[in-house]
Amino acid sequence: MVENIEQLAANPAAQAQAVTRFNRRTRLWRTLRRNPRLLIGGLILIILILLAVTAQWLPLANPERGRGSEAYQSPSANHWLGTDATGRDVLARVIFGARVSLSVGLVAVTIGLVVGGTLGLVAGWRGGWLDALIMRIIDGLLAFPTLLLAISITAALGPRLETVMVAIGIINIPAFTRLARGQTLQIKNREYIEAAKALGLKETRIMLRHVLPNILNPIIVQASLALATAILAEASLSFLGLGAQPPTPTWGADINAGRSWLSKNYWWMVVGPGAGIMLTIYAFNLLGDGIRDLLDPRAKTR
Amino acid sequence: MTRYIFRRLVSIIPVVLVVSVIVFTLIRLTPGDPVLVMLGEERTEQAYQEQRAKLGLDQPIPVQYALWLGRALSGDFGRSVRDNSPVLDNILERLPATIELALASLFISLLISIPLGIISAMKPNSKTDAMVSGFSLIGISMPNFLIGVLLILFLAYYLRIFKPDGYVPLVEDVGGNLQRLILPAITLGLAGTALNMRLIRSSMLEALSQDYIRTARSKGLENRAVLIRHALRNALIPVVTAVGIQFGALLEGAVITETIFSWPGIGQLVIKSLNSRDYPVVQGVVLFAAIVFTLVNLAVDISYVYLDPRISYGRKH
Repeated sequence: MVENIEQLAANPAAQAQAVTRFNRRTRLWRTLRRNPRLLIGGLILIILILLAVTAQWLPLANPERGRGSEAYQSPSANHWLGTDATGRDVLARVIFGARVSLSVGLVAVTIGLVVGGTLGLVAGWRGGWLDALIMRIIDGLLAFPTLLLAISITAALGPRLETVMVAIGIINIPAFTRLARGQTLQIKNREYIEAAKALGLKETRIMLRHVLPNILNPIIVQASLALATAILAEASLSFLGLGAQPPTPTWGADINAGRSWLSKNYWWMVVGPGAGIMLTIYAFNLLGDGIRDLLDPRAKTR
Repeated sequence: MTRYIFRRLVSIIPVVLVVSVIVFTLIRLTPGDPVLVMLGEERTEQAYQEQRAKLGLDQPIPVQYALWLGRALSGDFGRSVRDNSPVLDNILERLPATIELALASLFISLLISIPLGIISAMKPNSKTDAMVSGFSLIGISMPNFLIGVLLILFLAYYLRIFKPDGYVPLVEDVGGNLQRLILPAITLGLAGTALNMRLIRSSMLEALSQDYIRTARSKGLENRAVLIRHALRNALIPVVTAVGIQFGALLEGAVITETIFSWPGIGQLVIKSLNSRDYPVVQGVVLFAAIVFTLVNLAVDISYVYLDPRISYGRKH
C-alpha cells in the first residue's frame, strides 16, 4: 500500500498499480451507470443480503416468539409493520424470512446449475445414445407443470426446508441442461477445441478448461433469472404449508396465515411479507436482465 | 402432413414413459403403506398378505412398475386413501371447474396483454413502452397468491364489490358463478399477462420490420389495417405456443388460486389431499397433469400447420 503522495512519486510500480485501480473503479462505475437495471437490482439485493445475514444482531424482536398481549397491533413506532395473531413482530419475521428465501434460492439454483449444467455439457459433448438418453429424461421432467412436480417431491420426501431446496433444485435442472447442451453443440467444432483435441488433452480437461468457460455467460444469465423463479417457487410451497415448518418465519407461510385475518382488515400481516417477496424477485429479475445486457449486448432487450 | 402428425404422436411415447417412471418412483418414496391404509383397523396377517398380493406389492420393483403402468394406461390411477374412490373419478368430477377458471383467466390475460403489447411495439423505447415494460416486470415478480390476497383485500373486503370465495355451478346460477369467477380468474390471469405482453411486443416488433409491412404501407393502407390484418396476424403465431405452454402454468397456478378462493377444481383437490395425506390422489393428479400437458403441447405443434402456411412438414428438400 502507498502511504502518501511522496512515496507514490518515488515508486513507479505503485503508481502504475494506483492507476490500474483507478481505471478499474471508473470502468465499473461507468458500466453500472450505463446499466441501471444492474445497478438497482444489485443494490436492492446487497441490502437484502446484508439484512438477512446480520438479522440476529439487528435490534429486532424475536421472530419466533411473541407476546400474546401484543397480538393484532397495526403498524406503530414499536412494531413498524405491526404484529401477527400471536403478537410476533411482522418486520422481524420479514427480515428473518429473507434468510429462508435467499438460502433456498441459492441452494436450489446451485443444484439445478451443477446437475443440469453437467448433464447438458456431457450430452452436447458426447452426443449419440448418451445425449438421446439424457434429453429424453429432460423432456420427461419438462412434461410436468413445475409447481406440481415440486409439490409431489416434497410430499414424497416430507415437508422440510431441505426437501424444498431439493425439489426446487430438480425443477431447475431442465433449463440448465438444454442451455448447456445447446451452447456446447455450438462451440464443439470450433478451431480451438480442435486444437485442444489435436494436442491430445484428456476429454474431461477439454470439457472443463476449454468448453465450460466459453459457454458460461448465458448460464450465468439463466442462473440469475432462475433465482427469481426459485424464490417464487419457495414462497408458493411455503404458502401451501409445504416449506419450512412453523415457527420458522417464511414469507409464503406468513401470507397464508395473514390472509385469514383479511376480513378484519389486518392488512399489515400480508403486506409485509408480500413486499419482501416482490422486492426480492423484482431485484433478481432486474439483475438478470442487467447481466444479460452486460454479457451479451446483442441480446439486449429491445 | 399425416406423417408429421404420426411422427409427433410417436415422439410422445418416450416422454410418457419417463413421466411414468418419475411418478412411480415418487409413489414408492412416499411414506405410508397403502395396504395398511386400505384395510384399516381390523386386519389379520392373512388379509394383509392377500391384499398385498392383489396389489402386486409382493412382486419385484420392475414387475410392480409394469403392473402399475398397465393399470394407469387403462385409466386406473389408483384409489383415494380417504374413501377408496378411484382417483380418476375424483379428477374428472373437478375438471370442469378448473377448465372454466383456466379459460376465463386466459381470456383476461389476452384481453390485457394484446392491446398493451401492440401499443408498446408501435413506439418502441418510448415512455409508454418503458411504462408497459416496467409494469410487466413488476407483474412477473408478483406471485399469484399475493395478487389473489391483495385482490381479496381491496375488492372483496375493502370495496365489497366481489365475493371473496365460494362456488356456484355455472349451470345452476350463471350470475352467481360469474361473480365468484372474476377474482380467481384475474388472479390466475395476471401471472401470464406480463409474459404475454413481452412476447406480443417482441413478435409485433419482429413482424413490423418485415418487407410485407412496408409493401402494405406503400399500398396506402391505413395504419390500423396494417397493424391488425398484416402484423398482428403473423405476430400471434408464437403467442399460440406460449398459450399452450401456459396451459401447464395455469394448471399449477390453479393449485394456489383455487385454494385461496375455495374454487372446487383439481388444484384444490391436490391441496386437500395433501393435507389429509391422501398421497395416491396427489400423485394421480400429477400424472394426469403431465399427460394433459404433453397432449396440449402436441396439439399446439400440430395447430401450427394450420396457422402458418409457411411452415411445411413434408419431406426435407
